[in-house]
Amino acid sequence: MWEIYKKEFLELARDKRTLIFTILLPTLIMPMIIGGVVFVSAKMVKKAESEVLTYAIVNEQAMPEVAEMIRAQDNFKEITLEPDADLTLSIQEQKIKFAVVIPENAKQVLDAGEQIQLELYFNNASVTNRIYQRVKSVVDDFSEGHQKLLLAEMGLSDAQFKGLTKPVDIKRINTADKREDFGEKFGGFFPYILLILTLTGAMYPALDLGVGEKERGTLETLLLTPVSRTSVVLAKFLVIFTTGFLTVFMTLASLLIWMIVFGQVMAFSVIQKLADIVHVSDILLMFLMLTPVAAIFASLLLCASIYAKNFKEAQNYMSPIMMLSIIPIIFSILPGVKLDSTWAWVPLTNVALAIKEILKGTIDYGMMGIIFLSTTLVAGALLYFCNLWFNRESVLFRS
Amino acid sequence: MIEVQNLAKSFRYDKVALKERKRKKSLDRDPRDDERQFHAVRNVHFKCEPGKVLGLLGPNGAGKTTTLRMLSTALTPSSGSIMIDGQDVVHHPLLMRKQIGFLSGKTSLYRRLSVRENVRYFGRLHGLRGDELESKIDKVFDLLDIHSFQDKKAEDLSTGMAQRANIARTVIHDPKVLILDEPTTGLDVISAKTIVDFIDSYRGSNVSVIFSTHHLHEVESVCDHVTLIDKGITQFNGSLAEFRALGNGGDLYSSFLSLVEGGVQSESATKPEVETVES
Repeated sequence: MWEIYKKEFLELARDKRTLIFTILLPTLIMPMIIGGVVFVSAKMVKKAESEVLTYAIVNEQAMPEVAEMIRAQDNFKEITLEPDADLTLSIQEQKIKFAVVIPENAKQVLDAGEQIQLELYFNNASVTNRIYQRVKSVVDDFSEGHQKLLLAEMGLSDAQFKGLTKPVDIKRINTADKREDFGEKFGGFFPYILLILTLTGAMYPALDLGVGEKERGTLETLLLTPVSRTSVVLAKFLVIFTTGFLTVFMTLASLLIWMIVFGQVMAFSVIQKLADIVHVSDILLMFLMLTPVAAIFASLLLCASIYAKNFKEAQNYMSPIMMLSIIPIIFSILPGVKLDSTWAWVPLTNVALAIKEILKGTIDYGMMGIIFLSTTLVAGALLYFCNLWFNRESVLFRS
Repeated sequence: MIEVQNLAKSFRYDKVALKERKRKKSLDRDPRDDERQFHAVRNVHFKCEPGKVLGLLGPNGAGKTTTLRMLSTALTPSSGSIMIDGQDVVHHPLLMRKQIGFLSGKTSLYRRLSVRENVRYFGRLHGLRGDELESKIDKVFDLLDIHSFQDKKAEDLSTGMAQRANIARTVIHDPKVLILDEPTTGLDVISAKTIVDFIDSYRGSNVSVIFSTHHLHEVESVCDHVTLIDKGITQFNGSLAEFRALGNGGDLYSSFLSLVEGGVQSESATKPEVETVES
């Protein structure tokens, strides 16, 4: 069996497609894409914040204080438009980036203690524009100053003002510690990523070792050697299992390395934060929970691969397997679904819930035992079934 | 010695095949075709002594490959027996695989491994190790003239090179029975001759060789015995001389046609040289 295992690995290591899908994609390409997107987005936001914005103010005389405050901002450049200029057209023609229209009776309304509404014309289609935020910050400053003036005139303190506008408020006291909070927030999608990575990592080797060998005519050569079919199945299963597991490990390791390599202060602080919350023992526990999951995927994929007549047919089976795997994981994200004695028996959902609990630091080890047992049972049953198929001529030589 | 008696193999139709069969109901059907199954091999029997080469002949679809795949243990017979030196192949396939070397169009090499790595791998699966294995590889590579391309990956080999490498894989464990299913198909004259010479080298050895081919001149040059099967049934078992005597003027081609259902219409066997087919 180990002879076959070693050979299969050597062959996979020499296959460009396997290297791309199992190693290069998760370890280099994916982190580079993610890193690239983060890097470009950060740059674009920074650029949007420091961009010089051309603007026009209509009816400045109605509220010269606001106009003055806008003028005082860095990277704002005032443009004088024709008195009857169409503001929308001016923005479309790139003459200005935004326009603020002050109501003609603004002063009187404010003096009467009522609220005025400024109109802000700008193109909000661009994802990265920060015009609204930048103008709002100026207007908020003015509002705050004006509010204080009014309160002073009325002889009200800040506390009295709060009592007037919101007599009863609620202060939230979160009893969840930092870790539980983190687990609840990230525990939803983290297991999803881990499980999907395990599946995708195992997918290509499964196709290559099953239907790939069938198509290339090497399966029959192998079956004629004095090695039992159970040993052949086990060797192939172990290779697929190892590859799935390896993909998760390498992806996580490379993500960590790439975050450091990208050298962004924010990313580094996230790692620091993660290290404070999630310990090595937790990571080991998560990998332990992934073991039977990788075994389930390996058996399932090998079954489909060996049953298929050709590569194309096998690829058709991959989408339903993907769906079948995603649905139980989605259950774990649904509100109200908690790790209890019922969910602990549902394959994949149980592992996703367990990983969430591990991240939160609230895992029940007894429950973990049940999950390990139930998942191992499913993996064992699938492997047994796979072995049965490997002993059936109608499956092996299906044409 | 390998001895085959009353060998039969039937395949159940799957749903798609059953549908197709219903569609073709009005057309002429193979007599091996029944309601639910296809009896590919119905009654095949022959034996081959050590040091002898048996030529397995028959038109396309006669059941030769199915028969050979049963001998190789890839398929399990529906009935009948296959014995090698008195040991039952059907009931002890794992044990008997050590005694069998099988080559067909469906047995290939691992394309991402070199020729030497391929042969070494199969040697190891047969329990060979270390110096014993390496010296066996060298010996077989000498015989088949493989040394010059032993480090090439199987995917980079020409058809002739690949077939020679495949034969090396087939014989690395010194099998007692060598089964070769159309080993020269698709090869050029030189490569085909290398293989025929290699088969010839087993004559007089302790190995029984079963050699299936459509090239009657190859049968003429290496076979001691001939078994001809048609529609899954053995039609002839005997020496090459006896087979030749069946035809007009000692011509293997006419002997072949005289035994095959459909007679002269069958064009499966290729003649050594171009002749006019007489009706």
